[in-house]
Amino acid sequence: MPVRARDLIRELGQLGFTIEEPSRGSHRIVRRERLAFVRPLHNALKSEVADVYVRKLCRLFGLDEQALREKL
Amino acid sequence: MGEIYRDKGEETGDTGENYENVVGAWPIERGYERGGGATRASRLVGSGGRRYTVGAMATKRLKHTLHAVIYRSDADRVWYAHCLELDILTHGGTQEEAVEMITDAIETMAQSNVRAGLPPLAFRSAPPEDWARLDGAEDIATRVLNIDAAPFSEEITLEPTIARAS
Repeated sequence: MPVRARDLIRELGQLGFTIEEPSRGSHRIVRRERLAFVRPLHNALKSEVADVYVRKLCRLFGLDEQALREKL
Repeated sequence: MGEIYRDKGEETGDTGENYENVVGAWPIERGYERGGGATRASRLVGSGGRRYTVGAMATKRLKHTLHAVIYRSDADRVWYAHCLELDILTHGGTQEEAVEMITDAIETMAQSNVRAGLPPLAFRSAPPEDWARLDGAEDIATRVLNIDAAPFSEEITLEPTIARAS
């Protein structure tokens, strides 16, 4: 189920991730140390983040997808 | 500012071995390309007019050929674009928008890495099932991204291909 970008970014921030705002375009970077994940937010914080992005993000950073979703 | 030299091979008809004699310039086909050397360099000579920027310090120009596959998701009603070598995924409302989005995503990621003091590209392969989408895919576009990444200067060629999700 898609999640709201605002909720996801808030939760990632609490987990210690940094979110880089785009200087142009619509891609945001989620970064923790050397690992970075890029995803588009066409409608900024109002965007819905599709399942495929949530899965990829969790896989990259080793997060428990279910646990993350429960906090959103 | 550095001076600009025309390919030495272009003038001499050499097949590329003389690239190493051009002060401070590295042929962009060297570096990460396997099986390169004279054959690939001679292709560059044949293409003609390619130039190298040479500064006081040697500037390495590297080329990464990347593959992106775009495919339609009827469920999400978007075209996804997936760079397989970097496992970068993005999407657009149309095929054309998806191609532009994956180009922007790769550039955004590379620039972010450089700002963080990291190499511009972090290679992590997409899962095999994503690579399988390349089977039978049709090449539709090539983009060339020039990323300033001091002390490197990398030229990245992106070759997205179309694959339709089953």
